[in-house]
Amino acid sequence: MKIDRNLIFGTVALILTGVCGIFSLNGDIGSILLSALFYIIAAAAVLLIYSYLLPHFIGVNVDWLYYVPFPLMLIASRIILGWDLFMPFYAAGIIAITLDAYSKYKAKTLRGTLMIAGAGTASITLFALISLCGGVVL
Amino acid sequence: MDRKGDFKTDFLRYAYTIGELCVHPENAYRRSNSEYIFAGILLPCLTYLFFALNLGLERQSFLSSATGFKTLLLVFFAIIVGIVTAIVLAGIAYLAGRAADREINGLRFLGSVEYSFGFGLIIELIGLIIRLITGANTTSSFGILGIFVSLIFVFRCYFDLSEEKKYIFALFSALGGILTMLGLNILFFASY
Repeated sequence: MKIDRNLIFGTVALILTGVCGIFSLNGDIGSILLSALFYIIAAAAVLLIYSYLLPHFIGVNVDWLYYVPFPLMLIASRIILGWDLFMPFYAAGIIAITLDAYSKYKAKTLRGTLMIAGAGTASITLFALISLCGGVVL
Repeated sequence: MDRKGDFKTDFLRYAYTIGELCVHPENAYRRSNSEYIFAGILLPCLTYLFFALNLGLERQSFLSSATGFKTLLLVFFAIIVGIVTAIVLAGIAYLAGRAADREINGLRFLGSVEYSFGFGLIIELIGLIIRLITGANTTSSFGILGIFVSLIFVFRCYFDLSEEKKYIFALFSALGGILTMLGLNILFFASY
């Protein structure tokens, strides 16, 4: 079986983002566990959007390496600098892969462009909603 | 009249080139025109200037020790941090090139880094305008995001040069991002 290295990079990076998101949450253990579950579902949804739906509908496969620096920066910001920020890193990572998708999309039709922009908006909104419900200050 | 027209044409051509380089900063590396490298140093300086102004105004709103003079000093310090950050990011591209056996000219890459701050500058400016009009705290949202958007373009320039060894450039991108955050952290401490 051929291992898709790009997909592994994306999965690991999104899991790292989700873990950092969980550490940003405020509230009782029940709400944190529930938010953690939602983060896992959201990460799977983002992978599905960028690595299945976009290639399936408009033939564009994103390079998850564009996303990788941001979770690494997020971890460093928490451990080394003591920052309690989460969403700007995730949003920047998603903007990076969305730009990559748009630059690879040669046809530049309105439908395809809207799909790429919609994928970015949906991915950021999804994580933002979960973070808001979990008590993260955006 | 002709001289005025020529000046206008030259200015428009110059502005168009700068705008085009902000959209595609990776093209700045391919240009060896030093004129655009030195014009571009204004972009990180202004980005950090607006960021520091926003931060200074935020501190003034709730810290009694924060004064106009301190904000002015912070802005001056931020300009230096902006220049140093651009140089460091270009230096990291050079180091990444060495690690990946690729010849990268650090000075020419500085042009790409500078023009990567074009969109970040616009975001910082919008954040500052929103603060001045509404008084809302936009340092975290617009301030940090503006710098991160600039980093996205810098990382795209890194990847543009990487060819097949992209993972090396991804790791060096993270290093560049961490050092940029360190610069921001210094500004946060300096603002108190």
